[in-house]
Amino acid sequence: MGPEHWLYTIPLRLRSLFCWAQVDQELDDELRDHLERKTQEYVAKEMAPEEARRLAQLDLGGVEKVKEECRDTRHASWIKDLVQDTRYGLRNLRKSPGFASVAVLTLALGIGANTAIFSVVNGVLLRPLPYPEPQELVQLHETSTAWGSGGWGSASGPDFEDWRGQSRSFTGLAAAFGSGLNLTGAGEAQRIRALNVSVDFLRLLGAQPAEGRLFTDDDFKPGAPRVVVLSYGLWERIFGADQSILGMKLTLSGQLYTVTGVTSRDFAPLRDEELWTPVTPDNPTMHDRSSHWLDVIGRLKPDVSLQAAGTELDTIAARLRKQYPDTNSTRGVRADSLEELRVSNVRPALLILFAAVGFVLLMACVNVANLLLARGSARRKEMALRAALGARRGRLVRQLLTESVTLAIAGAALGLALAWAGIPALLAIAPEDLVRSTGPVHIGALVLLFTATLSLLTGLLFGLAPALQSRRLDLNEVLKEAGGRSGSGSAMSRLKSALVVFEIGSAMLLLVGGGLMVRSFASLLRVTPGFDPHNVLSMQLYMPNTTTAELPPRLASIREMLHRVRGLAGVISASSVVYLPFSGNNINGDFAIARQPPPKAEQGQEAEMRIVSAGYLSTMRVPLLSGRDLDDQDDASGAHVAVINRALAERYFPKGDAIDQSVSLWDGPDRWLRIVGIAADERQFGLAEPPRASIYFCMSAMKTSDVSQFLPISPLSFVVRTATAPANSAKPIVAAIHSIDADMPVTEVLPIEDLISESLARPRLESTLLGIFASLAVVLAAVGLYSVMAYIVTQGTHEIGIRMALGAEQKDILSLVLTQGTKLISVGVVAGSGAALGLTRLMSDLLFGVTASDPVTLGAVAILLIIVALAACYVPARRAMRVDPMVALRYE
Amino acid sequence: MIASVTEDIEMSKPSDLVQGTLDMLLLKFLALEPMNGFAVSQRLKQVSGDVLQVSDGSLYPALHKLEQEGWITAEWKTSEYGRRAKYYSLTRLGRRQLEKEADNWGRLSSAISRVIKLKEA
Repeated sequence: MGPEHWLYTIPLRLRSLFCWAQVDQELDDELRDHLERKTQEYVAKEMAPEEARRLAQLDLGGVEKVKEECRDTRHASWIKDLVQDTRYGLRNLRKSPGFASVAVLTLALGIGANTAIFSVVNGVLLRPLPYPEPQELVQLHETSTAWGSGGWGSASGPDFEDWRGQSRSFTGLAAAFGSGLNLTGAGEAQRIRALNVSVDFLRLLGAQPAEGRLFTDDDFKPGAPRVVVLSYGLWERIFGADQSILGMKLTLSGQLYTVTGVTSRDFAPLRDEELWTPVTPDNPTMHDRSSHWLDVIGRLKPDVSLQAAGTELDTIAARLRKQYPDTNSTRGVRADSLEELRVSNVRPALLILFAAVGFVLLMACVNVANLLLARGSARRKEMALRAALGARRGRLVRQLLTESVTLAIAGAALGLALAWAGIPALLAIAPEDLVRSTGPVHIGALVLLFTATLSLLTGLLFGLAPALQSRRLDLNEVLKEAGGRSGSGSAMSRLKSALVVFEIGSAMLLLVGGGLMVRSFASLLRVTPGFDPHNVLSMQLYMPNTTTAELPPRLASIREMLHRVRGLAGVISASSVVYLPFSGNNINGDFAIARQPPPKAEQGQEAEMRIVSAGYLSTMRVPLLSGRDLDDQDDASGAHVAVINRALAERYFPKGDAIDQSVSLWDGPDRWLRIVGIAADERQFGLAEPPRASIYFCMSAMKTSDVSQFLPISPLSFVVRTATAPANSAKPIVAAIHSIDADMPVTEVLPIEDLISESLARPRLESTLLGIFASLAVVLAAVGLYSVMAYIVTQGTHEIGIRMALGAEQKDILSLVLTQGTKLISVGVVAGSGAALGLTRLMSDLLFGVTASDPVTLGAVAILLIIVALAACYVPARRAMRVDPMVALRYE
Repeated sequence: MIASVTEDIEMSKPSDLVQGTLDMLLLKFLALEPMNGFAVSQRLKQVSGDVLQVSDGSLYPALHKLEQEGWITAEWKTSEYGRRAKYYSLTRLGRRQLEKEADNWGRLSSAISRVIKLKEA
């Protein structure tokens, strides 16, 4: 087709599209002219004018048919048809507002739920990490045979250096330690999230400077001057994007750092950090193979697979095990894709939710298809008439499909509005980490495309059955039929019944899923955290760098702060801890027991180290099982005493003789702490995590070198038990702390109940959403069943009338209808249970305290569904029961 | 009786014309002189006698198809009856199409006649 072809055809197409009426008029004129001439010709053959006209008509055939064929040669006609069909469809829908609103609302719920969940899937799962070649980025973790296959942890400095020096799979490896630094001297003292990074960190992530320079190799040499790179966000937030910041000195946790540069605006920090400082060999922890504290990331060479890199790392780890048996005998290493790590914990839940809304949409389609089928029987005459007037079958199917797609698009528009309103509500109950790890969750281009595609597909899907039915139209039969009753009632009931069985099965499946989530959430709520979280306020204090010499006054000032807080009105007691339960952080380490042989190397003997002040256990109301709590005198005098928890006592002192025995912390058996008490177990890691062996001791009992090392990097949490709602006491408490040290940043002042609630956010979200979808499914199934039973009763009115005339009683009729309904229900429930048993196994990782094949859940939801379904049958059944036989027999 | 319309309704196609041949004939007529639809139907009957039975009903869709392809163009003129009538004429594109089809037809028919004339062995 050359350009010349378009020269002729384009004006013609445009003309037939936009001057439709005129083109049609011309067609009319042309055929009229033809008939005129033909008649003349016959008249010229001495035929009567009437007869001549009739013959001319006969030669031409049906004028309308010829016209339609001529119209079809204009390729623009389908657009015209589409517009016409849509207009006709809309008019039709306006004529039956009840049907239209039920259908549109049903579809809107289905499409809206899908749009909302897809926008989350899009934001979380489909968005790549915001770094160049993100698929090459990996994270390396240390593993330990003591933790089993699921455990992994941070790396030690020397291990990291060995991996970096010996591996060939990576273009680079970099380590980072997430900490915080106290920024003072620039307004109010602030805690800034910071990463202490090795030389390649920013380079690996592809960071570019917006101002100044990023790190150079010289910044990492021993004795190099302290430098800092700011994120664009921090630069803007605190320094107003002032370019004179370059070369300025900032006081961070009491030390001076020179600003060398600012990262570009589009560089996304890996861990929400706001500035970076180099980790240099001056840091003694870098040389300690038993301190595991570094996050290690790497970039694979483009031609190296993750698996190959893992194999190489295994070899290196094996070498290190041989070389350093004291520290590395249990240690291994694993590499995971950074993208995979980011989404792996949310993916199963999101996919299950996505599948659930998919089912809801399918059920919505089935319901609308059912409605259309019922309407279809009423419209059979209309269709037959159209066919008789010359409409071709394909054209009829197209018209019906256009109508259903019109419905679907209306549903999608409303659904989009629902999703738009629902997404903020969804995000409000979503866990913080989910929201933070995602890109923006909103209705963007991709989501719109998804919804548009979805609405077309649903329109075709639910329109298909009714449309295909119209093809099987036998015009003679239909037009001969007396009333609105259709002849193929039984085939129709079969189709509708199959659809309803599918619906009940899907509802059963979703109910089981939702039921399991709700039960799992309920059993999570029944778990007590091991302490009394009610009326306890927590807050984080960040210590500046402290030399060994400065340590005693620092500890004294902490004791003084606690003392002041305890003296406040409304405060019952106060203490401190590192780390707070439910904070997501912990310190664990090996320990030894006096007069017991050291544990076998590959098993390890680890405990959670809980560094507390006097009265921690009583403030948190952790029950004391025997012995006593640590008191002020222990704290002030630095007595070498400790409290252990039940988990440790049961595991390591099975004879119950723990009191007065001694344990040592970390690897130094040169300081023994006498056990003075045994406490009940705290759930430190969340309600679903079993408690671990723990040792409680005061900071003053530790070696000063250990304290000065961890104090600047671990926040000290104050816990304050108050007499009334803890939020009221927040201000005076912070003021009391600042009265001792005005430069102490106090952050995250939150009731502990909020922390627990936040830790439940994800299971709450999952069970809420699945619960909502399951309820939607039940409603849809009930509506579907109701409409089918109503249809069957209407179809059978005549038969019911005969039965009643022959002496059937009302209750016979009732049981007749209910039996039919029960059949559908039981098939659906059995099929749904089978599907549920197969599919819920996929969600067993999300469940707590309940198995995926929990018979109680299965039984309970089956009973619930059967009751709802029977109720849906009962209404039409009662109508059948009240049929007046005389009326029914006359009913045609 | 409406029963007849319940049979599958198909595009009415001239039964004993090879597909595309009607197009070629129409192009040829209009190459000789511009004329209107009625004249084309007359000409078809005159030329081919009763061999080519093309009903009036299938003639018009065929003409419209050629028009939509850009091979013929139409203009409205006042006819001898004093009424506006649609006159078709060949376009440059149509002339080329006619040459092509005539060429094909020539080759096809000579090939077929060669086959038909083959003697049985």
